[in-house]
Amino acid sequence: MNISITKLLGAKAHIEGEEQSRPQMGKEHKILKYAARYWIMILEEPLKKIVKLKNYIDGEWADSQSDQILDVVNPATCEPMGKVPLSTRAEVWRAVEAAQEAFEDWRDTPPVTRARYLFRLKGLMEDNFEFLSRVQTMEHGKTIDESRGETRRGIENVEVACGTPSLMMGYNLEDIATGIDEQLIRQPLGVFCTLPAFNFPFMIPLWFMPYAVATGNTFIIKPSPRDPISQEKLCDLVDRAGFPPGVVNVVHGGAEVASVLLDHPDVKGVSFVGSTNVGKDVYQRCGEAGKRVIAQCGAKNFLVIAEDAPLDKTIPALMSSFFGNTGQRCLSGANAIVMGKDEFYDRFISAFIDVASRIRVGYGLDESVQMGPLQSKESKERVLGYIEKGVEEGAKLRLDGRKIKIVGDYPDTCFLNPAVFEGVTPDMTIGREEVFGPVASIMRAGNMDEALDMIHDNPYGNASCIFTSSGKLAREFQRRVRAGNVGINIGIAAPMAFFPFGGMKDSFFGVLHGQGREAVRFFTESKVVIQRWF
Amino acid sequence: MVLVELNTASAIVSFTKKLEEDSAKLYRELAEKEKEKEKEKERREMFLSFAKENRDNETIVERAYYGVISDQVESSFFEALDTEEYGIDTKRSRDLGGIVEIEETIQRFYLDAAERLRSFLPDVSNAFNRISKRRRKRQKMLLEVDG
Repeated sequence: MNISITKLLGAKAHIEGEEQSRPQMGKEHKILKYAARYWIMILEEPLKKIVKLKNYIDGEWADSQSDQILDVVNPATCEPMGKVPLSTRAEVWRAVEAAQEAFEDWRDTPPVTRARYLFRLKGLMEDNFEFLSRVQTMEHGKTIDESRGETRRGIENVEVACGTPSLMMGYNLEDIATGIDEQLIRQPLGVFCTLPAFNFPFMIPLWFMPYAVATGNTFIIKPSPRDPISQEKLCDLVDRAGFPPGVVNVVHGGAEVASVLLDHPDVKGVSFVGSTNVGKDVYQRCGEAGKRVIAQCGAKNFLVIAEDAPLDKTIPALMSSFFGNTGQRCLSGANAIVMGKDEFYDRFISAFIDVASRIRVGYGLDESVQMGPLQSKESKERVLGYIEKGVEEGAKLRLDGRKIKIVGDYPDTCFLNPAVFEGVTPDMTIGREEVFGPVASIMRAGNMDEALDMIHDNPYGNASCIFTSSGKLAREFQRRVRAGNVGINIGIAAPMAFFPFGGMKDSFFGVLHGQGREAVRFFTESKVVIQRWF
Repeated sequence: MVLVELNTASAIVSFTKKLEEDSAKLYRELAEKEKEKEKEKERREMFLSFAKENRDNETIVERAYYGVISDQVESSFFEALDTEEYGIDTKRSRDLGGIVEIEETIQRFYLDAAERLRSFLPDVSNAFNRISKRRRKRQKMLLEVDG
């Protein structure tokens, strides 16, 4: 967990002022002098060479035979950092076969023994905490605080799954009739797979994998091809923790690999995190094939700000909600509904824009950076399209994130600054659709009924938050709002590992959710035994 | 002039580490200086205990931060602290008066940082408050030695 402070990487912008005043100084000298004086921390990149990603099947690392290879690109520096294969159909089948072969022995392994593998994995994750976090920043672009938060949340899921011997217990009742007893036992099903999104490359598979294997199933991870490296590093720790071959497997690829996994007859269930369109398809195909499914999908999250909300605490929470992870999370704030009189609104909007305009954007390994780049050039183009649409449809662009100002000498290919729209209505494209970027839409409502109508008219129901000092108002909101994750004076309503990750309406398809007890139920089936002895 | 602000939890933790390391180095050097003087044994031991405590302080802060950092907390969006306010010059301040000033600066940093993080990372804030009390106690000890 040591934070090493190294030579600055591309921090030219930091020293512009000094350069102008003392042009005779050497640039390197100036950077170091500046760093020494002001303790600018630019953390060392943990990956120095291009990573050639391999599949991990049956406890072995294997090169894919595919000739389709994609570059993994650091979105801040635009430098390639990895090569990821789009695995072949045969390789996917081999992974399922290995997982299927490993299943019988693994399910016979006592839960307490299975949990011990996870305890070892947790220890290894702690030992490699900083390394794993920096890899995430490199491959995804998020800030180092955000990556560490992601690592911690991932570890918390492993910790919770370590309690599976208790969580997996069934229940029983003696004498359901005279001399007859009944019990419920939970049993694993077989091979499961996960198809995670790119926005939390390390954490999302950990909402599922630890619970799946702790309950005796075997597992296949198909990381997002956009940022698969932290999953490979995780799998390396799985290997070092000594899991038996085939219990955890990684197969790289894109939609085609996902499709093969979805259709494979030996895959008993799928967890998916991504867009609503794809999620619906996954849900439908799993339903047709009789597979279990958790499909966590798109979002358009509303944050209600009541007139009695303390702005000094509310604004930082909103900044994190709207612009944290560069707006690329399914729990991000998208629409802020401000209630109350003009005077309050004016104070709110002015504070919101003031703080948003001062957010430092740059490479996430620079500790002074508060917002990183979008994950890819395509992501940025998508967000730019939404900003243009917002302007076209008549919303007022109060802070133009297209005017890019970044800390450091990096290409602006994937960068945007925070954008704030005012006068957004729920029927506008930016008020209705998921932007998945650092764009805040500010709306107004006269009262709670009006705010809830606006929220409920939207097809999504992932998260919704309220900022208020009124317990009554908060309770009413909590009770009435149709969203799976609700925040009260919390901008990111992310459930801890021991609570399920909720979701309603078009944001979730399935019955049971990831994380905690619900995950244990998802990965087990209930068997009821009724017994009588003559 | 460009001023760097401590505007993220990560930056605050790194700055804390730097302060603790710099002041630990100072105490180790001061202890080394007192090595030959038999009558200053007590003072030497005090300096060494301070250096050791600095390492403990780093551990306390790191444990608090790495234990609670999550994708949920607002760890990057608070009013920044200015490093200019908390710079310490361990090369110049070698007399006890100067050392007490350094300790005051460090204590002030801990108190200010604790206040900034109170709403968003309360565990880290509590750790900072705990260390600031240690630094206050240290100032008293230094003043007592100074007589």
